[in-house]
Amino acid sequence: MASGNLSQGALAWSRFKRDRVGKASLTIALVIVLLAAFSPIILGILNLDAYTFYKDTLDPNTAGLPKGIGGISLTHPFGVEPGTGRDILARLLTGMQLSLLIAIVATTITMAIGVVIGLIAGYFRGIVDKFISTGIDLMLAFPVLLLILSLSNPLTQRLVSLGIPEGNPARVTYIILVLSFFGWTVIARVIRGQVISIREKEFVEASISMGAGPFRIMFRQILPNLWAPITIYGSLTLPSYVATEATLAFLGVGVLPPTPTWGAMLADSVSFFRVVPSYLFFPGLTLFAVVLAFNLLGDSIRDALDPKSIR
Amino acid sequence: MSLLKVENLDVSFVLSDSTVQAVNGVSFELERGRTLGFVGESGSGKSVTAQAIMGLVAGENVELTGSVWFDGNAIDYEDEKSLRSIRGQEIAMVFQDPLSSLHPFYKVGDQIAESYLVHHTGAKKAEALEEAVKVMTEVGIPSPKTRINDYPHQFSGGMRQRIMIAMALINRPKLLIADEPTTALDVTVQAQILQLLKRLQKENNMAIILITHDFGVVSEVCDDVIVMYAGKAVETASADEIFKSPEHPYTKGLLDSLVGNQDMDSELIPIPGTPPSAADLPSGCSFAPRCTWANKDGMPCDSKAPALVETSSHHSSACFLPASGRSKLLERKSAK
Repeated sequence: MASGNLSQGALAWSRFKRDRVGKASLTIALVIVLLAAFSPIILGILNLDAYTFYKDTLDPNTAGLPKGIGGISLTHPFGVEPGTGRDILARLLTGMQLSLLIAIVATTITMAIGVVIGLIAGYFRGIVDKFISTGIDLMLAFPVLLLILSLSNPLTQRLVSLGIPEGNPARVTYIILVLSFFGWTVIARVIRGQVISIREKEFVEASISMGAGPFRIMFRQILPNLWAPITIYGSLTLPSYVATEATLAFLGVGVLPPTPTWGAMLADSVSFFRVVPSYLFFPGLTLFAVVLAFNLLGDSIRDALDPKSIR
Repeated sequence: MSLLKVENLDVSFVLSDSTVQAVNGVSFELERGRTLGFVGESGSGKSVTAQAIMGLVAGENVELTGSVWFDGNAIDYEDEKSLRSIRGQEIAMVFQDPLSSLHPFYKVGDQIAESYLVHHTGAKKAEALEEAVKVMTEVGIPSPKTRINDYPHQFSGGMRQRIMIAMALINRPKLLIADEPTTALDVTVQAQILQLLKRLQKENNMAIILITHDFGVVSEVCDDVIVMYAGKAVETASADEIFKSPEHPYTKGLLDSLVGNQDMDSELIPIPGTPPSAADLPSGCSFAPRCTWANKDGMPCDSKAPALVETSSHHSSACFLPASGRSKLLERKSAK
């Protein structure tokens, strides 16, 4: 076998490199992350700001509609907001930073909770497993969106009283918390299933016969075998959280204006759809591209990690 | 005082519709520096016996009775913490398939070192790795200093088994349980591993329980032998005795079915039938349905289970008909 001495990671990478969609989506995802990370610098170079009212781009005769097609010009490549004249590109980039921050932090917490609970349920089995599995079933039965919307105000207040600064910090914390709180169940189920099969492997038995305790076995012996599902589910959870965050912002649960987020921009743009379609188009397209790129990346990672996949 | 004393060990698995009697009243003693072989077919309970000694068979549906003394102390199978301090430290185990028993993601050095770290809380990783190199040298792995950084798949089968043995040996256990340690290896490597075990036993004054279905392995390394059938010890004797004068018809059958125990042109003599299901054992002697001597001469083979009784010194067999009785029966038959 030609690939005799390659490590698992090297094998997966060689499969990934043959996957054109994977390479393209990885490139786009990297560009997106870099754009978000360096958005202040980029905006500095472009000499744009997310909060400035560029009044000269608006037509005073139409009560504040942008001049030309959505106010698109060399200085404002994506146009400006009707009414205020704020630059859409600047607001998209600034909003992206927050969206990705929320999605990445929430994904990390989700994965951590899901993996630990899944490990415990799968390893200890019996009554522990029954308790956790029933809990997961109960949580999956909740109307999550309704709950998030209705709990938004009281829980944000609670966070403020716990010492988190009022306003955006408390609201962002709330979003991250609810996303993780309702998201881990699916991960825990997947991990639990994997653990149940891995714990019967002989190296686990060998480890028990060496006198290893349950935590050493769970985290040293079993956990490394879970990196494939963890990577796959992590890369699929991230875009779903970007989309969920936008949905929540659209429905009014999210950061306060004037701080931009994609969902809030979309919600705002709907009322201008007929006169300034570009205001809806650019945030919508960006959201679509980001979610699609991360989703395709997740699919490609799954294919690359699965030795049985033929592509 | 013997190192290990097992008395009336019973292990059964309770299923929803039946009870599987895997080990049925096994008793034995083992001295330091001696090797005890467990021989029997698949499902005869030899592995379960060994696993039960280490407390590895546990769970809601396992019933375990009997007592086990190790080094003078009774092992408490309810106390998981003390069990953990025995496993790997006092009693270590080597498994059949070294590739699946080694963790594929860790370097072998780290794995050997880990079993040291488990029992030496506070020890430094570097110290554990040093110990690992030392024990790898002992088990005959060439250039251990560089090979500690290799992964299990980079070793050959025999070398992997040496690594498993190194892992088991790093804490200098008083008892090593080897569960078919050579079954997954080819014959030339088998001999090397057996010699290695013998040498390590001498160097560490260690007792070994060797589980095997191979009488060749038994003759090579064992001092004493227990022949298991359907969860019971049917014959116990020294290894020499077993080969010279087998008492139990099952042992006799096993030896007769070995290649090389007959004349060149005569055929192998297999034992007819298959072992009974452990969930549905015959009411009398478990071997009776396959035994050519069953119920001869008015023996109650189908209704009563024979006990393990001493037939000569240090030689016991669980059969109503001693070997001498069998030859008498044969004589009578031929006289008729």
